[in-house]
Amino acid sequence: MSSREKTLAIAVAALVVGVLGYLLVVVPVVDAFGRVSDETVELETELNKARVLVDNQTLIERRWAGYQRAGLRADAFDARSRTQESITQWSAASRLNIKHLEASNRAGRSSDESFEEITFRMSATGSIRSLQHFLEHVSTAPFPLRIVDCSITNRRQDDDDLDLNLTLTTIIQPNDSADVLPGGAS
Amino acid sequence: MAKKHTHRLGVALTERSVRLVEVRGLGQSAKPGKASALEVDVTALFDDPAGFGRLLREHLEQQAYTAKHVAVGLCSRWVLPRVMSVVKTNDDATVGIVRLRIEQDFAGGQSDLVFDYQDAPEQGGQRSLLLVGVPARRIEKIIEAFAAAGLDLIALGATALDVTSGVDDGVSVVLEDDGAAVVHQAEAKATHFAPLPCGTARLAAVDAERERLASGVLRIATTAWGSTGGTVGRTQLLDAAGLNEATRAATADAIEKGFGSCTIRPADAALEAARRYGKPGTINLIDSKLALRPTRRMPGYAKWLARAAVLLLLAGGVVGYLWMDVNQKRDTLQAEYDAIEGSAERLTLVRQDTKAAAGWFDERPPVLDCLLELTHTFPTRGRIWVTSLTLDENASGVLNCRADDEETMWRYLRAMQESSALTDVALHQQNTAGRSDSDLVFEVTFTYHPPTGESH
Repeated sequence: MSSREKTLAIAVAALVVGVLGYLLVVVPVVDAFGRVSDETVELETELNKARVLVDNQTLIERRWAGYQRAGLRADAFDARSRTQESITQWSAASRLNIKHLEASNRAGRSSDESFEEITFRMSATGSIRSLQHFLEHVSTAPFPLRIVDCSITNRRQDDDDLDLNLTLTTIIQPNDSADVLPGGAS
Repeated sequence: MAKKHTHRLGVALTERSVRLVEVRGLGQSAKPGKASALEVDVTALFDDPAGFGRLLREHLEQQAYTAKHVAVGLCSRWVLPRVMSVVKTNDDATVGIVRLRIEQDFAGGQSDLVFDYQDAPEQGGQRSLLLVGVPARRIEKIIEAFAAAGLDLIALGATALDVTSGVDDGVSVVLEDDGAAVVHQAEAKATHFAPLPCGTARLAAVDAERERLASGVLRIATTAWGSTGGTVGRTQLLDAAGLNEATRAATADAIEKGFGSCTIRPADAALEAARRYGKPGTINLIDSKLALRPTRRMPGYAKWLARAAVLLLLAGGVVGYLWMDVNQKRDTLQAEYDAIEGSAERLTLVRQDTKAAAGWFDERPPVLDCLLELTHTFPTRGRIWVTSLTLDENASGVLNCRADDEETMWRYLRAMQESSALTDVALHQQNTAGRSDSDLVFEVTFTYHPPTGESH
């Protein structure tokens, strides 16, 4: 074998060894490092989120416990009757004349699927002061209550009485949440 | 330690003959096998080693020798003996001293002559060495010739020293096919060695040849060794030439005249050459103790391979370290995450539910605030009254109003637009109504944004 042929053979052999080494060693090693690096970054992100949660555990649980104490119920019948009674009491106290009060029979899931919602529709008549007092009661209700829709209408120009149409919702804590959430359902 | 060949040929080379014997085993217990002799002009070896090698190969094939390694004993005519005294020191220093002395004593030094030595008995508190030298070109030719015969030369010594190894102390006269040698032994070591010209073939018939041999032996013994004060001791005749009994006896008789007695012993030069192979301290010109042993230089490609291997090892070490490091980091994070994962999942659920429930507790739609803000925007002049107000849970509202005149309506709209809590204020419908043509009914849409921090 001439010197040139020998050089050529060595170059080809080196090239083949290099390519094989790259494909069989370098690429898998780089892939493995990339995989571990991605896992580490993902883990760091998750860990940071978890640390934030654990660091604020007291605040989170205290807020939830506050909701529990504020009357978040697990029983639909209980929540329904409590809301209806409260509305009736507040309207009487506010001198608001309830013409119609209706609660949905079935509790539907809230938009984020966390709770079950019970919807109430009511119409009433009263002065602007009565409406104001009633709405104050609704806004500061000691249990979960939310105005979904509110419509105030003046029936006649010379009449001080206003028509109030309200759609309200309350929530109940589903039983499956009670297993994992602190305090469970009250 | 180099491998020792147990199956080998012992060869005794003289100018006239090649004696061969195949042996198995090492040392004196090596068992001889087939043996033969080749009568040939061996000096031709130095002119045409390849031709001599072919001749030898044919003989080996004819005799069906199977050994591939050969230990050779050279006739005394071809070797140059020298006794040297050196100060006692370690072997390395001794080798250095002997090399220097050789360079001083011989014109060509070690480039022309190859030497090896064996220990002789100490003299005067100094270490005494018996050196044997052979021209380097001759050794090269011998190696070439045996290579051409398909043999690997593993040892090259002197027949006279081979056959006298292990004999009684005293003077030994070694008869070879083309001459003789005189070796003196003391303390079971050769102290002196001198070749002696002798027509061995003529010893049987010519009395003068025997007389010449005897006088030569006596001369060497008295002049060379007498000066050292050494004792002559027993005298023996070692026949390595295969002479008959009568010739041996006649030769011994001739030698006895000078020494008083002379015993006769047969000697197999080829067998002794084979047996001396591998014996520590003996002369082997193929693997001389005086040979310069250059450090093995690594070939260029091997250097590159070694560098590549070192680089690969380093790279592998770095990669391994990094791999352990990243894995350890990941494992540490994983362990930390595993420790709080349960709490974190539970708290995530609590937070999600808290957030979802907030709309029914902390973040209720600000209906009352919106109503209050709307009343703040009512104009102080002119008459305007709200006929209906609708608000949805996103605090988007529709306001239907009635006003005395257009100016009052625009004043009200401007007031709403100037309110920081009301956005997207837009007039949608405007019509005249009622008993007066100036009365207007209109519809305004808006979005209420409570000031930051204000919530129920």
